[in-house]
Amino acid sequence: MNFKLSEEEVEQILSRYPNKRAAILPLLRRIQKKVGHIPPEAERYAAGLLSLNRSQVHEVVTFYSWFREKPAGKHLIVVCESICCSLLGSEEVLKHLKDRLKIDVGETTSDKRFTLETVECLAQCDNAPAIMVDDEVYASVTPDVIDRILSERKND
Amino acid sequence: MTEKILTKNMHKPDSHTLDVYEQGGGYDALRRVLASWNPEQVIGEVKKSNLRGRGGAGFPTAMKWGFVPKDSPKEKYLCVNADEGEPGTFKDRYILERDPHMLLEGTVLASYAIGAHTAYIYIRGEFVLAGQRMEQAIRDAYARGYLGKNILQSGYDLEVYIHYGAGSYICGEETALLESIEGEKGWPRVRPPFPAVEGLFRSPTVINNVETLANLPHIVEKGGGWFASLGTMRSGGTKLFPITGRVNRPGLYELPMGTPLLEMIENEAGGVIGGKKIKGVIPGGASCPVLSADQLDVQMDFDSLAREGSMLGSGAVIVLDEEDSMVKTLLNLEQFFANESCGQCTPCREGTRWFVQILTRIDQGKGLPGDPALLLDIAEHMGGRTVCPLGDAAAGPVKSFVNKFMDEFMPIS
Repeated sequence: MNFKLSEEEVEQILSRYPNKRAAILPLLRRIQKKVGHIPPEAERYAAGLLSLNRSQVHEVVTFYSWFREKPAGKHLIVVCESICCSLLGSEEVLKHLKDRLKIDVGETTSDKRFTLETVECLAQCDNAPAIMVDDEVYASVTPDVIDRILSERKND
Repeated sequence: MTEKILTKNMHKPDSHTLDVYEQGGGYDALRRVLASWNPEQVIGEVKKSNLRGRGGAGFPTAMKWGFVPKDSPKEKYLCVNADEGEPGTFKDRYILERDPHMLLEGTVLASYAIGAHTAYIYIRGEFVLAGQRMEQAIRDAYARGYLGKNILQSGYDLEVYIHYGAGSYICGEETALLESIEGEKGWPRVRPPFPAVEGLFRSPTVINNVETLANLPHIVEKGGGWFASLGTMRSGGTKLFPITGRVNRPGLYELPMGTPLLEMIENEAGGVIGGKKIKGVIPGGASCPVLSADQLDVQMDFDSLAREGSMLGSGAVIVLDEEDSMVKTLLNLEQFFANESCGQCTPCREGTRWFVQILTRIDQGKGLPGDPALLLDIAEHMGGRTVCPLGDAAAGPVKSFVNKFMDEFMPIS
């Protein structure tokens, strides 16, 4: 698994900050974009680049909920459960997704295609309930919308 | 028809592009300031405007800038807080997505005012479109000389960088935001020292909210006196109000500071769905104590809401109707705070989890007679006993919901 970034990429990130440590979030973000998660070797790699020890990197990886230590499925579905989405039916949205995918929150389908998670407020409260699939936001979500989203990604 | 300032361009096609922004007079304010104003004049105009921070606390912006030591040999920084995550709030996202240059122009003006040559825009990791728009806006602004070295041939330099968050609400707290830029976990700092004296990389730093900064080009353009006249005596301008929950037309509404709450729910958001009665309103995002139905005759500004025992917060109005369960609503809010408590302070880390446990059993019909008093007791012991305001933000809703809707929290007899 090649999680390493090009020298230029690393240099470009480092140039934004007066010290190396500050580059850790953007560096981990790029790594996760590339390989989908932060494996232990990538923590060691990042630590080496920034002259930190691995535990300092691990602390950051585990504090920020967006970083994942294990790979997700091909598509990551996150459901907003905050108050506005909850008032307008996020519970039903979540139930429909669980039923269709036959998994619980935090799990991945056996074909490794979908991972289901919940998330805090996505700032889409004017069109609740909202979910995010990979990098795309879907607002005013209904079971029909979910069925469409899933079938579009079933064989892609 | 009230005057629109922050949202006036948002309906235009391609409102996020530099061309459209320039056609609407964009960057004229910056041109004027860099040509003939000194930094003190910018601060003076903002002082006159009565602009107060739009992130939640409502601190006077010019005063915040004034705490930055003028004689410090250290580099100074501006941090733009675009870590919007307060449930119910989506105003900053609209600015980032639909008028990113307005924010950038404000960013340059504020940086110039405090003498900063580096600004970091801290954007929530989940804001994909907002981030793309902002990145493009920064590239375009560099290309046309609004950022970088020798901006508009004035001799003033400013580098602007985006720093993305990674799924942590607490990083919207200003000192946690600084920790996060420095590459640490987002644990808020003990103050003093305040960021204005010792902030990012131990240098003098100002952290301003997106909406706060977006007002600056307009204040420069039309004057602080004009801006002040739009609001209340002690708080100038218009305010972005995201209105959601049980209303017919949820959305983002720009209204004068001090607009009556009921007026905005009825006239702007189209009233309550199905003509139902309002049971309560959260007036400024999840952290703000709930108002009961008899408290709705209130003006929406920092001071009026403080008198009602609540807060303007982010301005996010969440309307609850007569059929909503206050137990379920409060449980949802406290689940949020329990998930987002950073774990640094015991009262917040433990208290938010106890809230969730107790509210869960009440919601399941297994509440104990002493539970309402227990909730209030825990809330009492959290307030003011934590490094950052998240503890208070979690305790305030508990006190207000339980006290105002006590019946719902009592065991069914």
